[in-house]
Amino acid sequence: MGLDYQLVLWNKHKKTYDKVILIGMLLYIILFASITLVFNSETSIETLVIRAFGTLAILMLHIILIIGPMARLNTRFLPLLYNRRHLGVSMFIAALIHGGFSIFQFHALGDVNPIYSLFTSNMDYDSLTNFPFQVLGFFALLILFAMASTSHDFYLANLSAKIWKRLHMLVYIAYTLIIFHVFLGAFQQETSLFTIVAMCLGFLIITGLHIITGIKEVTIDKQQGTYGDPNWLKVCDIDEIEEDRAKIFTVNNERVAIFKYEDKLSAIHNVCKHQGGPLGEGKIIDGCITCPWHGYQYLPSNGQSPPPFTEKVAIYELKIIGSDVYIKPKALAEGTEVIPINISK
Amino acid sequence: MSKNDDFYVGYIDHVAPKTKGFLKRFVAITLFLIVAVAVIFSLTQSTFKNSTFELTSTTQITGIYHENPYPMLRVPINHNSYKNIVLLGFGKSSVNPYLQKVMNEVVTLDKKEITVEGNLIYYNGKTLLQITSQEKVSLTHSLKNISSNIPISKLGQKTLDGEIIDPKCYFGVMKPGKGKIHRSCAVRCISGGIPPVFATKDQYNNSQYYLITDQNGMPINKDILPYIGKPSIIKGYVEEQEDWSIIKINTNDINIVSSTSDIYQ
Amino acid sequence: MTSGLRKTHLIMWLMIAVISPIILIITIKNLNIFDSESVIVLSNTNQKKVLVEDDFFKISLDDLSENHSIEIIVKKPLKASETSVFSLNKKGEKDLFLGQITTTGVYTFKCNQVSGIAFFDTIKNEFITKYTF
Repeated sequence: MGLDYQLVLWNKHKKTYDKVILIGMLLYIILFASITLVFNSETSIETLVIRAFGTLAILMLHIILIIGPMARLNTRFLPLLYNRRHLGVSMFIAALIHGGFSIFQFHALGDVNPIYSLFTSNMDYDSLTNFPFQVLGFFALLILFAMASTSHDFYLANLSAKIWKRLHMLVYIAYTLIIFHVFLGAFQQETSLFTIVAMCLGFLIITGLHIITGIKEVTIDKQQGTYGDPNWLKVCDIDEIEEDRAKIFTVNNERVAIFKYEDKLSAIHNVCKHQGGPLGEGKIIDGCITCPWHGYQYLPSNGQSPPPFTEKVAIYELKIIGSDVYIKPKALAEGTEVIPINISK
Repeated sequence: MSKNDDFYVGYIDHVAPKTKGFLKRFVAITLFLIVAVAVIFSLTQSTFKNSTFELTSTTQITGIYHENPYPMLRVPINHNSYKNIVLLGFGKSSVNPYLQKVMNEVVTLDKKEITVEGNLIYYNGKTLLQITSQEKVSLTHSLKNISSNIPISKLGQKTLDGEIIDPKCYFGVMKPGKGKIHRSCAVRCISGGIPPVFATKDQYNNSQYYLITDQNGMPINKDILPYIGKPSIIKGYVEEQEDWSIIKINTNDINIVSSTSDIYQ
Repeated sequence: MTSGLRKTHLIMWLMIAVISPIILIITIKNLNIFDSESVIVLSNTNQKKVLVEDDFFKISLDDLSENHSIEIIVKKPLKASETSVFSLNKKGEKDLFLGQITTTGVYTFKCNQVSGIAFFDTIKNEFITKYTF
């Protein structure tokens, strides 16, 4: 995966996903525009475009942000996570239309450069009610642009997974900026109980979901193994692990996945090299550990992706005493060949 | 064995039926959400005003040019009844660059009859005209007796509460053309030379508009920028000049009110 | 996720969950949620005979005193570049120029017998609307 950098590696699911995105966006725009033109016909087209695409982008951002935590709480959400980046890029396009029209409408054709005007036309940075809300929207748009333009796997590989992930976590900052862009901007003048409640509800749901998921994950991490031998950590009983599946343990602050397959056990670092997916929540398919997020695969014996792919994950040594599984907490280098432990001797 | 052994792999076409059903339900809920949000956000917009900007059609008007206090065209309507149309340039610019050609033809353009072709902007009894090219302004070289002086009534000092707006956007080009959302644009317009106007309401909620000048009746642009688009109270000398009122102020006498902006008509 | 990423997520979300509601509450407190647009208060026209009343106008005749005037109350902003008021003759044609209308409000024009009123845009040379009584 990703060896040959095509723009999109299309498959049936991505096509369906994208069709739903397109239909959803068109439905929103057409509905918003029709209702406005029928019930509030004196609108101007520029205002209609700015509001329609701005509110659409916010709605899409909310949907995008709940996919992550929901996928952690219920694995049936994983198909939505699979192609989430297309949703993200589409949302950026909606936000760009909103931002572009707004910059032109409010700042262009004047006596100074529009971007300069964006920062200086309103200098009340020390006030809350008068705060230059457009600056918040501008920075959010920059973040979304950085994310959309690096959403391809090409950048993931070339920026390094760590930098890429940190860049894409800026979505949370973008989300916060957008909340304040709306509350200190549009809501100051277009004040309606319904829209305020809707935005507050969205904030509560997103924040609540993330916090609940965070607490659940912290609870998992707190489960400790026991040391008998200083070099080996006892983690579980063999029967706790399902066939062709894994169980995840926290070892030295990092999560490890122990897979059971064909009467053998192997242990690898839980984090997929692609986008950090939980390999331990994956499945063995055709003899390979398959990541539940995008289907990246690794051979259980050495943590390497099958050729022609080159990703590698760190691997751990295991030993079985009786029916207890022990792991050596210090990981071996990525791609090291480790003979899988046989369960029945 | 396990409750849910369905495993989704994106590049494998087959999807477990339970997952498929779940996804269909999720999409249905999302589509419903899209409809609900579109309805809420579109219906809760404030009612737009019936201000007009005739972007796609031009009108030719003949009248007397004067700058009391900003470039205007005094158009005869009927029997000593005139309408003063404020002249504006393209975009967020004053009309001055577009009058250069005719100004070069005469010593002074003041009180000369000119014919202009431009886009009308109007709302609630106020009319403005956008001129987009110097070629669209010409002297009529009329020999008929030019109209009488504009009658001015001095109404003394007044204190008004309202908002400083830019007339081009407010009277037609943008909706909304006032308030915080529009503030940056208003600042750009007034900075570009478009005359600042004070919008207020009388006790019956009828709107009143005042062209703002400095205490000598001269144009104010840059000095007033920090006060635009915010609810404020101003104090100044008011004069009524046919169908436009003028308030002469010192920018130090502008008080920004900290309450939220009322909706002006 | 690695442990480092998990920690960053936790810190970020705690900050968002704590700081955002504070700022949101302060902002919402200052908003005028229930402020609605007020309706124009109309003047007392009990002694006048109302000739026309619709969404835009209330036209009344006052010829009880020696005024012989017509009162036009403009309720909503008109959508015209110029509004001149003319009386109509018996044939329904434009007769006398009574005056101009600009913003909403109450206008009183002197006139004697009127069969109708016309609102005319002189700049565009077109009728806005006509009323016959």
